[in-house]
Amino acid sequence: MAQQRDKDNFRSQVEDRLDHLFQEESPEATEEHVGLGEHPLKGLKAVLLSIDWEITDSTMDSLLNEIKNVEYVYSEDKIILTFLQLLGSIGRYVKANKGRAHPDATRVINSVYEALEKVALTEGMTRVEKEKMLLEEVANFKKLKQQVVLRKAEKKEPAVSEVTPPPAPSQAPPPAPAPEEREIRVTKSSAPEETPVEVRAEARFAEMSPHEAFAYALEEIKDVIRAEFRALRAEIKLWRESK
Amino acid sequence: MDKQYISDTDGQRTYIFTPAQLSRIEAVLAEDLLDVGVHSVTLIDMAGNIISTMDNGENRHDLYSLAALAAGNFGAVSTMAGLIGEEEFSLLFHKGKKENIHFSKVTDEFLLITIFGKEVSLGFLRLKVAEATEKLVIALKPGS
Amino acid sequence: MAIINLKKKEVQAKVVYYGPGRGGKTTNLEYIYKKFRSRIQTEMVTIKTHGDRTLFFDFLPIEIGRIKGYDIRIQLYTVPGQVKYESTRRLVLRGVDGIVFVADSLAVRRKENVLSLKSLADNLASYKKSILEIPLVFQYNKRDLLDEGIPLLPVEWLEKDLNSKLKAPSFAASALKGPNVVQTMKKIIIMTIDSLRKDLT
Repeated sequence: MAQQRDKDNFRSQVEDRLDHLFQEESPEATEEHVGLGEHPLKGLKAVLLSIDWEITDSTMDSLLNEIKNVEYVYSEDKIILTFLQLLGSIGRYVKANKGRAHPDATRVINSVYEALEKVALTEGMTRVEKEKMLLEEVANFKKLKQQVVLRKAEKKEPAVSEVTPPPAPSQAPPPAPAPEEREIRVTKSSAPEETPVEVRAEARFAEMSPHEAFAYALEEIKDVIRAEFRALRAEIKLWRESK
Repeated sequence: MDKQYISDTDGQRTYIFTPAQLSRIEAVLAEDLLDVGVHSVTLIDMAGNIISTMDNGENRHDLYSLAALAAGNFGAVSTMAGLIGEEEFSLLFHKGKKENIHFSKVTDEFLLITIFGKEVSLGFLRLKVAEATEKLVIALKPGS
Repeated sequence: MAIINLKKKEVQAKVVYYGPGRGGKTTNLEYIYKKFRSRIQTEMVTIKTHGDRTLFFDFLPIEIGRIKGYDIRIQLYTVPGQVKYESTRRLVLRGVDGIVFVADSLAVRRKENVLSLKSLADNLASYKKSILEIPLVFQYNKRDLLDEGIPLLPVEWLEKDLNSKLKAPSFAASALKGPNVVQTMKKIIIMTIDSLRKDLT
């Protein structure tokens, strides 16, 4: 009797297992996203996974090269190009700074990529939806930039006050360390104050298209850097004169 | 009264850490690791003793047991590396759902254990650990 | 090796219970843990096989409290006894400061005791340590089996086999029932701390 029960139990388990294994595919089962397969983003995803594990000149160069490859494939798609520019910018920052980079940098890289993947792979996404996602990532990028600037200000401040009796403690925060922006020509006569620019920018972003917003943000970075270098040079000059 | 640091591999008995040495070690752990968002960082010796430990104030783990197990684990994995013809493995890391743990050798006598979450990527952590290790090697030298 | 932290005024030392398989090493720690749990207030860590045999090591940290201005913490470890775990035993011995050799009093285990002691000497030598110099205590375990009529090695024989050269302190004990378990532990802790005393002054 017990044997029969065990046999039935066993059989029903086998049946359940077979049902589970050979279940018919239902329409809801297919995902909105297609898997990457041979998709142009496959290489980029792979290199980003490797960066999760290891940040070296080699892995970062692979990232920057892969971005170039994808830029070529999507050369007609402005939205995707802008995503790629964000990735490239942060990538270059991390490559140049390595351990001194802001800890959030890799998180933002991953966030930008995830949005990029969604935009590139989701069938039927409208242009408006795509722009919205891009705008979110531009905001993340901008926030990272602010954090980088703030962190440098916190770290530099004690050194500055040690060296100079502060006649003019820097009103403007030190430069964001994006390496390609290091050859600065000081052309502008007045540096925009950080706070008013932020306020203006926020309002403006709402009106701009995403790639315009990004281009604006980049210009903003350049302005700040020029101003910072000028301020720094002035401080150094003062310090030297006081010695 | 700064005494000599004595190496176990020469058959000697004791490590003595001066207050100055320990302060330097703590500074490295705090600045290079804790400040970038790891949850805790512990420097141990290969016998499983804790030299120094710092954490972010949340989640107290049983560090003494962790230290004993980490030393044993590292020893075992190092032996395995030898068995497959490797001098050592460059990455010893375990990934959890919320917490991850990373081990890194600081000289042949000491081990750095870092526990971290999503706030820090492994790649970035490895960079910081490498930086911290360079400074710790100096701090751990005799007469430093 | 022991760690002395002059900043925290703390001493950490490592004591390993060594001996042939199934000799009672883990049982020693389990007895101490069970009996003094409320006072020790730390957890015992064990890494065992499904068959309840030590696979890697057991670990029990004991805080002795403040002596001569220093907080003393002794980490008790056991090694796996089975012959195949030789490299694991060597790993666990790394940095050892004091040893309890738990010998098996069963007559049929006479040879295993001697072989195990030899392996201890060899493993210590691989760390450039000498069995003649390291704090060591012998425990002749399972004496309770005498009452059950099981053939045991007389203590004199165990002393001759194992302790004739070392002349270390020794205790006849029963890790299962309790006699001399704590005394063994106390002796090795005293000997270990004693050997560190010159570094504390």
